[in-house]
Amino acid sequence: MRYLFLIFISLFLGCGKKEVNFVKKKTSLLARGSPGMNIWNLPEPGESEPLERAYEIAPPLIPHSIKDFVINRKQNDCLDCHLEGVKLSEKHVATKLSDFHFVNEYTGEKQEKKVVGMKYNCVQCHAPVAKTE
Amino acid sequence: MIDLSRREFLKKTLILIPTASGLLSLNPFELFAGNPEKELLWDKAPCRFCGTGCSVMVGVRNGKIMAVKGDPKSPVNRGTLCIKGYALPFIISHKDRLRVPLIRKKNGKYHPEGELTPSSWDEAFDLIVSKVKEILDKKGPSAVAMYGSGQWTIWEGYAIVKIWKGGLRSNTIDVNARLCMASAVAGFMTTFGMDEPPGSYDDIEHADVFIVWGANIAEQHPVLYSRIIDRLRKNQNSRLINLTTVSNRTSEYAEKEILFNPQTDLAIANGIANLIIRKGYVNENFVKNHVIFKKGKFNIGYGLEDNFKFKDKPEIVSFENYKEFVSKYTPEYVERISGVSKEDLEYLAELYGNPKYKVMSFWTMGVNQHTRGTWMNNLIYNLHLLTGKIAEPGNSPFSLTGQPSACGTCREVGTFTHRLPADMVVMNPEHRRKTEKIWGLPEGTIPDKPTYHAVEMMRALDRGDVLFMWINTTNPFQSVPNLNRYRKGALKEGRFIVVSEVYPSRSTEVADIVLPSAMWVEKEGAFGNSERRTQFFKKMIEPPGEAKSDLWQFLMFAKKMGLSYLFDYPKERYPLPKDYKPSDASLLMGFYIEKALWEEYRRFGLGEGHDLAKFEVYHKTRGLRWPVINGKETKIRYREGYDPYVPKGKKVYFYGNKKHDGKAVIWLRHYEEPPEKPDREYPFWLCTGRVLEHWHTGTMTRRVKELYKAYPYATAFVHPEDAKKLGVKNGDKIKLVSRRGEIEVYAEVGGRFIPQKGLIFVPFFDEDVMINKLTLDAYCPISKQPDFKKCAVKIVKI
Repeated sequence: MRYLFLIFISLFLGCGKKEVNFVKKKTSLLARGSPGMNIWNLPEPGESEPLERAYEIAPPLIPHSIKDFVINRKQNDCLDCHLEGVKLSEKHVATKLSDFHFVNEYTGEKQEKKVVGMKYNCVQCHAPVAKTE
Repeated sequence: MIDLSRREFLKKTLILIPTASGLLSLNPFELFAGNPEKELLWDKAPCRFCGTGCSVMVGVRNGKIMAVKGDPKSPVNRGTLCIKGYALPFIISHKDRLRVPLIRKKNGKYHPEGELTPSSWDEAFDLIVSKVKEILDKKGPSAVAMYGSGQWTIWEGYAIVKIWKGGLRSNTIDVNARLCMASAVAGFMTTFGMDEPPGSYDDIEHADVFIVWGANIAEQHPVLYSRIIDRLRKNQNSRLINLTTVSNRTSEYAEKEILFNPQTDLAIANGIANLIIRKGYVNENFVKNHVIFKKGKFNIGYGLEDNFKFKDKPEIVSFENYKEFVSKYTPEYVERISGVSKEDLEYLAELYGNPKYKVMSFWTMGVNQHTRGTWMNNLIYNLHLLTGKIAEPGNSPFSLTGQPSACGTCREVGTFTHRLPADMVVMNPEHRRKTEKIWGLPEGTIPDKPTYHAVEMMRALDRGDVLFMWINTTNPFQSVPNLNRYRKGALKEGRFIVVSEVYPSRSTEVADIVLPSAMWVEKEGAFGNSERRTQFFKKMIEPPGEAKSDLWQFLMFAKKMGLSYLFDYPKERYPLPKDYKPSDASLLMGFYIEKALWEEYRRFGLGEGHDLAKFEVYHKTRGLRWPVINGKETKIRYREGYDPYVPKGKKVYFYGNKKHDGKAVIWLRHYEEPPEKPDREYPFWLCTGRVLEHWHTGTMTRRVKELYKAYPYATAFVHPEDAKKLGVKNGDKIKLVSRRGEIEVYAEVGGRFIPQKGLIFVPFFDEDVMINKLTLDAYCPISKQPDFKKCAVKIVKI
């Protein structure tokens, strides 16, 4: 039993194979316990700045909470602000959808100011991000 | 917590103003039209992640991937990708990439208690080969194991199965796909006698009703979910039904979400069948001409004991027997077991039964990761067979697969302990003979008995029946159930573990040797997706440091083991490609090895319903769905006019079951209880699963800044009422405990997932939240696929 306990502890301390070192000490794994990332209480819509894109044509991340947003047959809360790029306050204007969302390049379908079905589920490509503390 | 009023306020006070052009909106097309399109070299590749098989346009400059976009020419994804797809440029470029072989050393020499130390490929392979030879001598071929992956390219799978079964004469090769879709395979084989779906994604554009069984398709197959949404938006009479144990994103677009008690999908499916019969919705003509009925064993166990064995004993029964069998599953009885109301069951029976609806069923892990997974697959086919809603546009039971080439490699090539290419098995002497003939090996080379499936392989490692294990393109020491036992097993003396990886992981932790692998477009590859579509990709960039493709690693291993004769192809027939980069494996062999392997592998399927096209064709197309006959792919199998394998005049012919005159099987399968249920001590169900932003164990996606920030760590989703009762708030740290282990994790209440009352949902992607320490290693006795969706846990407040 004590032996098992020792192995268990050694796994946790990251000092590996038969109670010796693990590779992760040299080539680090991700931050243990992910300190500094807060997924709770993100800014409300209209209270944050757009985030930088990973590369020019990458879909931008969402700088605000989308808690209780609905994307269904009757309702798409994201489009309320982003379809046209609505001015939310003196400081903040919602990012306007690019034309990419209005065409299905495969079928040739094109819609005027209406998102095509293949691009209707916003959260497929855009996600809200945690706060760095 | 939720400031709804604030959002309501915002919505009401929207001020519509046109934005200054270009200032606030970045238009990808404008950017494409300008720089990226011209400055980058674009080529296609199937996505590295899930089984959907999206085609990605990869933009390269100066040997680096600068951007990716959805391939507008792809019939699968039609110009879109998901958030993981857009992150593809970053999964290859993180600083943690493994660049050199590492050997565990003390004072410059291999020592199991040493530190992983940079070494040469030669030294690594010399050590591997000496260990393999030593263990072959000492314990025989079955003690030498390969634990592979549904993320292998087709030729990697093909080469390694040839090395293992034809070279080492060991059937101890199995894959992570065992944890993923073994039940789907067993379901297909027992119902149709042939693997993989009758239909294709094209059915989505023809269906009226989409019924999802225990699969969060919105997150796990997001692009297919978008194709469903596209269909729903174009056809107002169409609808999506989400049958699930956890309220998830797939419910959002659903007309109805139906929650059921874990394991009771078996009763629901039988209940629907019973109502279909009672309401007169049986397609009598179809059943008479194309269906037989079979009964197997009941009370078949759970595989919890080591060396568990099971053999079914099927017998043919009558339609009357079947009717009587399902008559037990009255709406009242089903409601009592499953919690699904009589109304909902009748609603489902109406949708499945009424001939005016074309129905697609979708499922993945909820059905497959199930101690009765094979049965559950059978039971869904039963509904489509009873009503004749199968193998025609829009009527399509569709088993989704999780990994990019679980179908193309694991299933079609046959990288399981019992399998050979093209649905053949090692137990069948004719199948072995055919394989040996194509491989040019003497009769009797391939051993006639399967050894260890994935879970049993882990147990064998723990027991000492397996002493050498090569883990390739997967991370079992985070992903197998009942992890505490198997991690300890891996650390026992005398075990030798090799891990081919791209990043340090929970599996490299226990490795004696770590081999740095090339990934995705750093090598030439081929994947096969859920709809039988085979797609090729070229090598576009160089791997970092000394990293090598897994095919190169396998061929090098063969060379050093004295098995070069397995790959002795005529060089002049396979010259290296001129128009694009030859792979490291081709350069090693001095000829186009991928093409040579492909042309040999093709011979297995020709004329057997698994026909694949010639090599070059795939580099020119966005993939083709097999069987490919006279250059034409097959969208729908088993129906005349669509599938050339169906004899003239037969209309529908399930040619996998020629012994039953081309008839498919409706199975009599009961509802049986799971091996572990919540009780007084462990009062909650635990269900594990995936999330959109991360790929499996997160070794790649957690290293992408955007994905990491979007989903930094796994949380435990608790139903609000349970949370209230326990006094647990959103963001509280809790301890989850099962009979097998415990972990600490943040509780999440009211987030993306709302489990049903009495159930906790925890994603498994997080290496800091090793949820599989808690899961139970019970499996389906037929498919040997473990159940990650059901075990009993308790919550302890910290």
